[in-house]
Amino acid sequence: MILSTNKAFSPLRDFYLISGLSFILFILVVASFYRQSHAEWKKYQKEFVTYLEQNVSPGSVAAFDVSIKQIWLPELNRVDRCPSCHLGYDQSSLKGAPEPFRSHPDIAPHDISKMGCTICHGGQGFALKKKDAHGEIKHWMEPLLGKKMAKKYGFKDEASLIQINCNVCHRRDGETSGMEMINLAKKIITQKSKCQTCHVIDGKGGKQGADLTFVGDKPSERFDFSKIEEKLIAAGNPLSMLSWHFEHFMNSSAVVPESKMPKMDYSEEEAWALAMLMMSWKNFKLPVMLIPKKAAEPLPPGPEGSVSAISSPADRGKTLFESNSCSDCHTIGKGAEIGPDLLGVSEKREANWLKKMIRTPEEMEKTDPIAKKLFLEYKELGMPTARLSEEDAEMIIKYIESFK
Amino acid sequence: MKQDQTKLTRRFFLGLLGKLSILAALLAEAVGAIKAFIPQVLYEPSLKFKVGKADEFPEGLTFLPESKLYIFRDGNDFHAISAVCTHLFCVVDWKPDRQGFSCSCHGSVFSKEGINLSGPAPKPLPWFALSLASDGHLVVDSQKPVGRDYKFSI
Amino acid sequence: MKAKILRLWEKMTWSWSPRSDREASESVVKNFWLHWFPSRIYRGSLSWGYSLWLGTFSACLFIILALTGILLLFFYVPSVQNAYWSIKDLENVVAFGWLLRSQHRWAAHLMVGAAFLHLVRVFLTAAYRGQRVWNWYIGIALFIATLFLSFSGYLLPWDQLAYWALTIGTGIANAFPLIGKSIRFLLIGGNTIGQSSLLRFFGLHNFFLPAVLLFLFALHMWRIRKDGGLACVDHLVLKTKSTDITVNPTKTYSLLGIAEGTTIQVSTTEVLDEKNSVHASPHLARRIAVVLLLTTILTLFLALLFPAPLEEPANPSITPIPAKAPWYFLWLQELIATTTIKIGKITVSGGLIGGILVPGFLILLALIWPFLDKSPQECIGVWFHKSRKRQNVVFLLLCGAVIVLIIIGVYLRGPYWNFYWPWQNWPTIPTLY
Repeated sequence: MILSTNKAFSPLRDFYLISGLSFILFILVVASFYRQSHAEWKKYQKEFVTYLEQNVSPGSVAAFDVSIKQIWLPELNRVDRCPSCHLGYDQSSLKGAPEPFRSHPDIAPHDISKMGCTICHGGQGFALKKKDAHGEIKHWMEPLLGKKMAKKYGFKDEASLIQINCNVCHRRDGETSGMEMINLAKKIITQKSKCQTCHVIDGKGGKQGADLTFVGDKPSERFDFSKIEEKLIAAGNPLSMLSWHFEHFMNSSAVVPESKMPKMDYSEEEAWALAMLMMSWKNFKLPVMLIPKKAAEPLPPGPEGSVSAISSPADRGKTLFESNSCSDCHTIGKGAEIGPDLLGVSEKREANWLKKMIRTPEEMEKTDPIAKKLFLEYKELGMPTARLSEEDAEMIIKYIESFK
Repeated sequence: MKQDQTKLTRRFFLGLLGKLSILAALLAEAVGAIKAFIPQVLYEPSLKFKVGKADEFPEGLTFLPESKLYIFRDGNDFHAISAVCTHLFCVVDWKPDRQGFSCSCHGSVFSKEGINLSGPAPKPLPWFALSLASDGHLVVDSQKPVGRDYKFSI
Repeated sequence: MKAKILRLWEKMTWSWSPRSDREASESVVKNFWLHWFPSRIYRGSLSWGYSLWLGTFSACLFIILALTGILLLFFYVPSVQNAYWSIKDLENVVAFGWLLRSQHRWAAHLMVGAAFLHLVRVFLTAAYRGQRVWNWYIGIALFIATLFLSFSGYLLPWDQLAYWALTIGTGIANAFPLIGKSIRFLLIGGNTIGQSSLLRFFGLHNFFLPAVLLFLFALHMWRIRKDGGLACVDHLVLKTKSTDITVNPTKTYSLLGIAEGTTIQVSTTEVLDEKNSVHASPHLARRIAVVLLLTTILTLFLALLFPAPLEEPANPSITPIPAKAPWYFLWLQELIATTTIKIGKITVSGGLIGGILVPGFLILLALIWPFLDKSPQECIGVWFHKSRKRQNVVFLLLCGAVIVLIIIGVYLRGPYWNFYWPWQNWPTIPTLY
């Protein structure tokens, strides 16, 4: 199309365009100002002022300043703006107020001004919109571990999930009041199950399984959901890390086919408690001032009692037998468990063979025919190697022989 | 004063010296500016690094996220495969059902040994040389690639 | 009183309404904002339908980007630990921070699109012919600068998209033969992506590339003047014969024109007269104001409706599933994912073929096309001229191919870059809880 120069040029149309467009721009600018000034949190604060005026003495309201309220914790590199809507959290007089104005239940000795909110509850502390702050959006990894989440999993106790975050700091406690599920899980792993036989936890443990020290940090992309995906969807359970751990504790070979983890026969409650424990094992950098005071106490010792004065070789053998996890798999006279019953083993096997088996079992399982047969017989779990001297091995044999 | 263009006068020489000096100075400045952008120190983990106590590695494979490395253990034999895809450097994931690696960026598929089976990755995943430090830690040298039959035994 | 105000108004706006040609020339020359305009412009240049004002639209988008960008500069922290959180603060607590950020992002996406459409328009109207080839080259450089500005921009929030886009982008640079590794080393500031990479791209995005863009933009505008205006003016030149203008004999001139005879004479192909041209000020200035208004309204409207997204904080050990570039780079990503070729024992990576060779070839094609175009002079400044049908078709097919690749990348690629029809569900990616 060749443009004709005969058409009259009318600047008037441009004028109308400018006027019209300017007006539209004005409307849009007004809209932006409206959105900026009518933020969600302002609505809540105005409602709070009204609530205070009606239910508490009107004078207390005079000094209320409608602004963003935040708890800034530079040591934790966090900022929690929850108080911008949860305005009564620090006022004990508002115990009966409706949410979000209700006062926070007493959690002494925890100090909210030093810890903030999200470190326990989860959620996005930076945000000022309800949905964003509660972490109910895509691309935020720490959702609120509260009622809604508990409902998703069908937990009766709505406050149970928050214990996961409690244990991030209280990990070294043997038992903590208010953390029933976590306490149950900790009891299981110290008294009932011997996870460290196969899994490294806190630098100590076996090599058959994965290192669990910071398993809570492992992202979902590193886990295989293919075996349990359909089962979870059918059961209406969320496709999540927590569900994965639950399924794994209930029946590990169903989740990881090549897993050598025996079926532990946990109840569903126990499996969920353990799954929560796993999610709480995170590498969290805790400032010194927030370390729980009870952390100095070690985990309660095993049922056999503490190590004290050793007298006879058999006693020393007993200590070695228990402290090197032998008793985790072997009984002496109580039947075969993960490994064979050792009652009378020194009559069945040669002394040298026994010593070699105690000191270098993995090598033996590869080269020695008897060891190989036992390996296959006991589900190919394999006996882990402990660092023991020849003298130690002799003491252990003496200890086993002391059983009649 | 009339200037003789053919004779090498003091004026000409000094002028030339001045112009050359400026040119040299500008060139030197340009080179200096470019050199500034070549990093002399790197705030990065070194290319030869410790990955943990050798006897504490579990059987099978362990993923080390900070080093982007998979350590395989079979009894006392170790080998290390890089987790960095040879296509465009994304991190590959281990898929246990397939016993291989998959890259989530453009779909490259690798075998258990890191051989590129399908997708746009042009080369297999590199294997790195391993050694043992005096404190029992396994040391990975990412500057020393090795063949796929490599085995480090402790 | 009224007289005083009217006189003040006249003093402030005299350049807006010149009363004679001389005043018109003076108004542009004496005014900083208008000095790049000629005194008069061809009426056809003002047509909405000819150029679609796409170049002006791109420039207005740049102005918006510069203004929002300068404001954002006061809140963004270019440190690996703080970048993400500074963006979160912009979204949540900085007054109008959400608007600044969304408007900046929308203007960026629109600018890439507008620059591309402007290129298409220039091609289809053969406005790169003759001496305008220099402006065509400057324009291509501007387009590449725009793409790099956009790329370096979305790296700054340091979220998952940013980190992995940088990984893949520098991976493509790495595929450059011989010097690729060094280029990657310089771009990243080391071997692994980290603080030095963020700082380098921050410097590139905020100073170096905008400076390059502004410099090229100035050149681009100057070339328009030197080339005699928009290409649609050219057909006037074809029709007009050069006329002789008699010169006042009492004046002396230093001539740049052709002189013939014993008296001083000036020969000119001045084509613009009262009938076919208008004063640049106010008419061109007003039209540009209209485009600026439209652009502001469009970006503001989109920013109000569609907030800018932000993914998780950058995590070097997890690649997101799927990891997709923004739409204007998805054609490139589609290429690099599918062009790994095995020739016997040699495998050539898709990064080299799809990331460097194919775009390089396209740029080369753009550079030599003005010399391959042998269509007659009448085609210049005309949309879809018959004589250019074949090359227009080829060009549009190439553009269409790029668009198809983008559509595939956006809608038909899922986790692990597998192909999914729109009705097929993507596998659910498990979450933490």
